[in-house]
Amino acid sequence: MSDIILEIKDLSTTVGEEKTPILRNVDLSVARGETHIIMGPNGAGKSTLGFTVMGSPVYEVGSGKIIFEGEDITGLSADKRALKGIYLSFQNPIEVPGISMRSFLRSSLQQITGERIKYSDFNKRLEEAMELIDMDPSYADRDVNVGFSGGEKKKAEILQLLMLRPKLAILDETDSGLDVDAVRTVSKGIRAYKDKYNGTLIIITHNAAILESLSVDKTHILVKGRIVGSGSGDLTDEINRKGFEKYING
Amino acid sequence: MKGSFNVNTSPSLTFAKLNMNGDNVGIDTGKLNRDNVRQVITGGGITESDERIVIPLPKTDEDRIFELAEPAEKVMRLTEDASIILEFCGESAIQRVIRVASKKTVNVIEVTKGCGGDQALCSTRYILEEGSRLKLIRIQILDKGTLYIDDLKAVLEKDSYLEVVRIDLGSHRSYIGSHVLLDGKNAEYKAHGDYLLNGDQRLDINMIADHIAPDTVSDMRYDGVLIDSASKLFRGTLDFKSGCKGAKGSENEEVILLSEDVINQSLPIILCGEEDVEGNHGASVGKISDEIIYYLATRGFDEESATKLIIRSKFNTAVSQIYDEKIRGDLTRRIEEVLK
Ligand SMILES: Nc1ncnc2c1ncn2[C@@H]1O[C@H](COP(=O)(O)OP(=O)(O)OP(=O)(O)O)[C@@H](O)[C@H]1O
Ligand SMILES: [Mg+2]
Repeated sequence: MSDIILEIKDLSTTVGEEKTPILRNVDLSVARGETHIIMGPNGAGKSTLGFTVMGSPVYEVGSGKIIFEGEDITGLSADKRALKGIYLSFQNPIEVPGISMRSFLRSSLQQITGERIKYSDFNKRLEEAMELIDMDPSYADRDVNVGFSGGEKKKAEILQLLMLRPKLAILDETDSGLDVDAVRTVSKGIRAYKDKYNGTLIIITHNAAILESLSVDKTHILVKGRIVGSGSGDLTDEINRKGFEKYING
Repeated sequence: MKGSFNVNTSPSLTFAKLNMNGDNVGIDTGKLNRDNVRQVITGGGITESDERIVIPLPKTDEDRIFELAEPAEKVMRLTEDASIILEFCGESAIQRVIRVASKKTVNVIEVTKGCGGDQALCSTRYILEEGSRLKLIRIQILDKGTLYIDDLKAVLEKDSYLEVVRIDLGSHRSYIGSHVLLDGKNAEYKAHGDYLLNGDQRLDINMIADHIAPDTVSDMRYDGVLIDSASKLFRGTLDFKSGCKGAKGSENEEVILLSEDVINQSLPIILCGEEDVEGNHGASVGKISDEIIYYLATRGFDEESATKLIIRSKFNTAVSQIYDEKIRGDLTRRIEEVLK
């Protein structure tokens, strides 16, 4: 029996008071250590899927279930899900003025593990992670995402991934807006997460470049809130060559 | 000798009907004893004198209180950094005049604390001589039962620069008044206050910047957090006097309200007696944004710890400017007490 870490069953979500439907009857099953790709046109509901798995109060679950490590987490708040080991790298990371990356990450790590981490151990870990993704050490003492460029914010999300070492990471277009070199260092960071911590990944992307150095287990196509196709990693190449047309009209 | 005084009055009386133009406060001036306050100054370059200094402003009720209180008056002239601890033990009033010597750059930290007593009154006049620069950090951590009146007046001569950073955490009721006269050409004034109020603490602020000379600049901002049934009233006045051509002033507020029962009032005023000036006012009032709370939640913070983290971070900027380690520690402890 494969070790299923995340199972989404017949999930439908709505947004707002008018209950505008976004996700429609989504099924998805991810085994521990796997890498899944989610592709789909703009507005398909990819971010919504990420937010819903991460317990965003903005999206209301109309029907269906989210099971994490065998436990139904559909009703859990986002912070409890984080404690269980789920991580979301935001498509648009939020600025938190007044708090440095360093103290933010340390507090976050302590929240999640429930243990105090010694400054020296923490700083060493931070230094190593920053080096791995080519991030200037000075960024550790800047306020979280404040004044960071688009690309720097994405890198900072990967830095958090490497520091927090979740069991499941959802990366929402972490590669968008990155220059060629940054794509390379970010995928290096993602690979390190996967290899060193046996990480499980759901990667939302429009771009194949980030996948070059990662072995993909499954690709899913999301269109208008539905998963309209799933396949092996090769599906990514096909989409990149031919686009979504076949799925949109099919 | 209990008297009733109208303190923190703003220069514009238009708002009298709203009952926001000053506040009536009962002070027992007879109980005030100048020996109940201890002032410890460390730092170099201080010379004292008995010179009389008259600031060209109409007499206020604060002035009357201090006349009745008969506090000691000394003029100190600073040429170097100083750190001042004011400790109110019992009812007391203190009045000080501090000059910053011409062309000098000076940092001053003032900590106002208490050890009992329910009235603490402090009047300070700062004179910034030509070309001088003063960075003044004022921290108030009085006991929670104290009534505090802080009356600061400053005269800024030509090319001088005054920066005031203040943090108010203590006292039951505080009246923070500051009236700054930008009297010399190119004088610049920057003020940033932070407060954290809980229980039924009340903070009444009256900040006035008079732009008298040309090309003067002022930038006043007050940020804070209101918890439980705390209340705050901010009066901020930019007064552009006739002749202050090219002057620029701004006043801003950012208030985080953490309960339904808090009272938050603001009265920003811009008076223009001169055409060629630029005055701005901005305010942001509300809860911590849902977006930030959610982002922090995804990083493991429940709503309460996220809120605390945000509040701590608000004070970080101010606290980190305090170079005295002990004072910084005291302040951090006080903030943590409120957040407990
Ligand atoms: N908070 C919201 N309020 C209203 N509509 C929303 C909200 N969030 C998402 N939507 C709508 O739901 C749909 C799916 O949005 P979502 O952000 O999930 O798309 P996406 O697949 O991530 O697109 P992109 O590739 O552009 O990032 C869109 O039509 C969007 O306008
Ligand atoms: Mg998206």
